[in-house]
Amino acid sequence: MSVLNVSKMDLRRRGRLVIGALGLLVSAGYTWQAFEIPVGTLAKPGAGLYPRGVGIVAIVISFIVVIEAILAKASTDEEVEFPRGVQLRLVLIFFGLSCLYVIVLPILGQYLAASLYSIAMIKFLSPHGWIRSILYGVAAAVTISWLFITLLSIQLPRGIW
Amino acid sequence: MDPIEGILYGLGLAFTPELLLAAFLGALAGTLVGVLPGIGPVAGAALILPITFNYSPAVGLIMIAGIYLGGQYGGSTTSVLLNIPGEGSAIVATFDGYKMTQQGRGGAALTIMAIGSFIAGTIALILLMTMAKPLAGFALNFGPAEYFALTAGGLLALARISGGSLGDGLFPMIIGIGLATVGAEAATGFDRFIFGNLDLSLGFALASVAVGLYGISELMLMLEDKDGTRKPMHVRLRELLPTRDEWGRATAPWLRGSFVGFLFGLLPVPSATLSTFASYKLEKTVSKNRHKIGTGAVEGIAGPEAANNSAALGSLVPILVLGLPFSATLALMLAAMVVQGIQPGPLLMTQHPDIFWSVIAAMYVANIMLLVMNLPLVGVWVNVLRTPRYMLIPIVILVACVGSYSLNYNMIDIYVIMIFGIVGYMLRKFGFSLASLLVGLVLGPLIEKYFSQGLFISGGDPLYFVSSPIAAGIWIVVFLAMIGSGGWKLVRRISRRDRQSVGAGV
Repeated sequence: MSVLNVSKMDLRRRGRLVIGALGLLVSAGYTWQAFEIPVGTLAKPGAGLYPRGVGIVAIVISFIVVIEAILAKASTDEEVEFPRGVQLRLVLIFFGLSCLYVIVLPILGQYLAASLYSIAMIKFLSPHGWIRSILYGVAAAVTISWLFITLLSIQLPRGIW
Repeated sequence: MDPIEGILYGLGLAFTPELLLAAFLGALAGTLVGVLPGIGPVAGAALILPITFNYSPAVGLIMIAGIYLGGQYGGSTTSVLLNIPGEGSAIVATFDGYKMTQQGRGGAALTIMAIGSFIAGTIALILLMTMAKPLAGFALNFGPAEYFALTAGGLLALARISGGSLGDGLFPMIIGIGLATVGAEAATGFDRFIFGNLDLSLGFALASVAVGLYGISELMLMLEDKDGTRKPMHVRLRELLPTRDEWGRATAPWLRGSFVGFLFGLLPVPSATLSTFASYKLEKTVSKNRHKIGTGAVEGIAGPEAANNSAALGSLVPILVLGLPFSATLALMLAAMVVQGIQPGPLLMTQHPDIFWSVIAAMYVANIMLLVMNLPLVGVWVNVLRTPRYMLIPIVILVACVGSYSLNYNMIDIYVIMIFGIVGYMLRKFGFSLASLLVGLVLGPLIEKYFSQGLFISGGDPLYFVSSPIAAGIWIVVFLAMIGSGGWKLVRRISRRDRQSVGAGV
């Protein structure tokens, strides 16, 4: 059936098909887990009754997303564009560095982790050299951290510094 | 306490130095997050929400109100100055607002928007004072069946209306509802879907999910934009005053927009956004200068901006009287109220009228603060818009992580930001609606609560949920809204196809 020829689908339909399929998998797993939770009775519902219903509805809705992706006609109004080249590099750097910051935060502590993160982001996103990146990065990170820790008395991960 | 006594009491509380300062800071922060690209009012409110928990309820609420309204004004400011809408409710402001800036009337556009917002806020306040008591009295008749219909039905209607296809709104909605089941179940305390990780017993923090979905994903989209160097035109203070003709032309749209916006605020729809489009359409239909709308006409911004602000106050009615938020920002406001010990619902007005009227007065004071503050600070906002991305992005991430960590002093809330950043990015890329996810996360526990209560009361009879005329009526309206929304979208698609055929000379 040509309607199921995934290779001929535009990116939007293919992406939605994948998302719908993932949704089906996750919903199925969720529902299976929900059946492990005590259900009680209809008159005295337990913790598992509502999630079972949610899981079943989730399976149906994921199925709807898959069907919509298969049956939808390609539309030039709704094309999906993923970044390429420089833009892709920027997005990946941003996300990668942010994840790295989150990982090292409890180890290094707020001041150190935030400073390193800010320096790296400014270096990669701006035309500045290392010295300016270090100056701006440390200034921004220390100011924000000080604002929250000292002024607003919000405890942050300690780590090394 | 009658409405006039109530509002005077609330205003009396609000006009103290501490609360005025809180209103100022909230409005300032809200406008800042609305103006800055890459954050938006939802993520901005989520960032600031944890900070408000350290203060008294009145201070916290007035700050959130300031952020909510300031965020909308800030989003409209970028529409006018840069042709970049800060959020959905600011899209309409680009149609005529940016054209006015190009004609050297950007300052006047901002003034008309600011004053229109204030007038709309005043009219909405009067309407709210009139409607709140009868609606609260009516809502006292509501039981679990009616509340279940309102929460589940309202969420379904919101998801359908805010999405394009059926899946666009329903898929994120069910993700939100599913996420809300993670953690300790309210009645029995049974830990669900935590997979041995006790950190998940508290469930997913709304603020962290909101920051990830809206903030992180928005930053990623911002980095994709090759044209990230657009700079705003200068606006001089002396250009802020509209001409006599502009004042005259703005008056009727302000009034019309105020009523349209308030009505939309009462409905379970993305009221701020829809009200602006409805008001624009109304102006194009009835305005004396309708032929000029779209070319830089005052009517094109006056009506929609008034509608926007009036919808914000109108949406306080369902949230305060029924405890039902129908937008992402209102979901955060509800979370702020609950943390501050304020339980919205029909009894709030009768049992805690001081709190009820304080919240409303807080919104109005924030409205006044925006008017007083924003016009003189236009130059500041223009300079803020020049903040380079390489400084803005790390600052936003640091504030986001700190704010989320401060919720429960747990690293898991920071991990949630990153995970939902990717989820939000992908959902937005493929056309899904994020608002349904966030509102689903907030309403999910309420839907479960009323569902369980209903089954308990009825002895397990599922027909209980449609047994009352009110509940049945709500479900019929929801059903019609869902069918009608799909039908309307079909009609628009057909008429768009017809116009393309005519244009192609077929």
